[in-house]
Amino acid sequence: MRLVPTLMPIMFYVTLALYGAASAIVLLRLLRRSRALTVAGRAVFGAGLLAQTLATGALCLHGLHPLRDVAGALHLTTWLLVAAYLATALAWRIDVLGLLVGPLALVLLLSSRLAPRAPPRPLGPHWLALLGKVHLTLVAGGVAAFALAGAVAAAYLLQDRALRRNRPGALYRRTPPLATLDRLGRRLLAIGFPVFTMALVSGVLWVVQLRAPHGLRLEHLVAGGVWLVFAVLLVARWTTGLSARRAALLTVIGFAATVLVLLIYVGRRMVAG
Amino acid sequence: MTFGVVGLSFRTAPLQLRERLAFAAEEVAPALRELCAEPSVAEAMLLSTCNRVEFYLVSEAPSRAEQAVRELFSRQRRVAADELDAGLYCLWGSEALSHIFRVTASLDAMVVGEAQIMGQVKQAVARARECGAVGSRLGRCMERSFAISKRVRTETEIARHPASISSVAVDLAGRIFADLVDLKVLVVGAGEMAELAVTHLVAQGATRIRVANRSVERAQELARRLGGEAVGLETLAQQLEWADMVISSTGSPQPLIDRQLLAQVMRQRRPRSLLLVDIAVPRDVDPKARSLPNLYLFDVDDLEQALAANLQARRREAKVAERIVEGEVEGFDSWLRHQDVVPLIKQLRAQFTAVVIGEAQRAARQLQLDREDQRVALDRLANAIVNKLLHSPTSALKQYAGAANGVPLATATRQLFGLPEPALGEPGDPLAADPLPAEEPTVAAVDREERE
Repeated sequence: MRLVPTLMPIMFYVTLALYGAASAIVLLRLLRRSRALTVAGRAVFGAGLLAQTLATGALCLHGLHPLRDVAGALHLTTWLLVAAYLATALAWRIDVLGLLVGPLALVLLLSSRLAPRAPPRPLGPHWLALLGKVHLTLVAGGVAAFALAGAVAAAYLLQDRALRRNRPGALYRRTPPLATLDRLGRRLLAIGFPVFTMALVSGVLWVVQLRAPHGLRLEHLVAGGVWLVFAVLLVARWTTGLSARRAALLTVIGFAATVLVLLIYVGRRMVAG
Repeated sequence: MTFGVVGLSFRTAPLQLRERLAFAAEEVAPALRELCAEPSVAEAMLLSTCNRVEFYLVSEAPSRAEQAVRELFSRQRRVAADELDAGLYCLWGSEALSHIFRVTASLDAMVVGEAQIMGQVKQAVARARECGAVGSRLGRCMERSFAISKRVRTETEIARHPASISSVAVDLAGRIFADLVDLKVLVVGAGEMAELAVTHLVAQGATRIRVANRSVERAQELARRLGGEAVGLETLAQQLEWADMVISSTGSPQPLIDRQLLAQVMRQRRPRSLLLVDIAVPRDVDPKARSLPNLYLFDVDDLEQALAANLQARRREAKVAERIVEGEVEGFDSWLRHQDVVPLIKQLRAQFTAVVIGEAQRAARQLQLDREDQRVALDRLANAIVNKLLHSPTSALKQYAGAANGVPLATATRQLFGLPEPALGEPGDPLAADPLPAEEPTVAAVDREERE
């Protein structure tokens, strides 16, 4: 137990190094076709995920809840993102998404290091603290799903552009067909949107119950905007037969807005110290 | 024994000469039997394709084997010696191995990386085996060449870039649609190129094919050949709504499919994508239609451009493949040389052991050593003497086996100790004594793996 405080930073840097190495392998895989590199990329991402799981486990053993602050929420988002990526890469053979997922995981982890750690203080009754944790978990799940959907949409747009311009780039033969990317993107949004909706509802309830003095903030408005973008996208796909290309474009915009929400949220807390 | 290649290819001989020298399937066995009847030829196989006619040989006397092949060509094909000499090449040793491996890996092909050659070489090996012309050495070499070819295909992207207009069209379909089996293909016009492209699609599993043509008879004929159905050209708008991929190659002087028609069709079929491959000159599809959402339009220029990029990529990948082959030649050559000294070391050891044990037994009888422990001690002494005496020569033979002076050293050892050369296929023959390692694939295994 005494070792836990020493081990935690070590595990953090090990995780960081493994995600960095995995990103480099995926990049290398882009340049050279090799089954060994594909397997190595997945294995190193898996090792990173395991290291992160152990770090979270060590935190719990130390008596700290992993979702006690912003850093914890960012950690969980990273974990969910990498886990979802690995599942997708294995099931859909789309390892190329690691090009975006790897660096994003690194940025999220580094942000979690920079984000201020809230001192353990009571936030009202127990159920309210629990609601806060549920909200953070749902946000992490929604953001992870949107991030992966954003990566898939970006791959779709690049492939579509390569086809239209008749200029195959490095991704051309590493990416599944457009129809497969479109189907995968739709599935990820079908998972991410309800989770994000629940995150918004739980967030509103939490803020109302906390009787926060600041009222609505910019990140709340942008988060509402993100929800609206994805809602419009899903409805348009079901009803008017929105083209796959436009859907991919909206997904990328929605994901960019999600990143903006995170930036404002983390930035405000960093400025506030 | 050394490996050799005697023959000619598209690089050295014109088609007029190649077609005169080519062997039909039924002519291969008699030619190989005739060649193997020559004492200088231990093993042989014949690869006769539209691009090359080559004999792969194992021989102790390369120049006599070469002469035997020349005579066979002159006798069976009635080609004058000077005509033959202009295109004939003779490669031996590492050069021959490198050539065989490069040919099988499709690096010496007219279209680098084309897959057809692998099947042709396999067929040639099978024919030579049937008539008993391939033994353990050539068999082993060809199995290695199949393994190298597979390695080249998996470790490089040489085979991933389509190398013909029709295969580029199929590749485009594979970049857009998830499953070619369910692909609905509409062929507009009954041109040869369109037929070729659809044949490629059919080979990939496409079964839902419709052919629209002005002449209903020709449409029906092509539909029958492709296993599809014929439809009238007047129903083009409906057919465009139905199809996922359209291959158009009519002789119409005006665009048959204009932007307005396609805009209307795309509205109806929303949000399904449509791939239009227009291989007609003049074009059948209005190029302005490119801007329509969910529509991918490629004309002949686009396909040619993609083809040129693919061929360039193949050439780039071929450089990587050449390095693979180079390493493999070195490895196989070194392995062969090592294998050559294994029976020699065994023979040497057997001779020394027989002498020392015989003398030890004679000494035991003279000294009347009857006790078991005394005999065991004497045996140990005899073995120790053999080991110590043979340590240096064995190490030297192993060390120089892979080097250039390895063969003279082996010959000198044989002469010094009066050891006979083992005959091919006999217990002393290294390749007969040493079965294929389990991890190295056989021809059958390579075949099976490719199917899987």
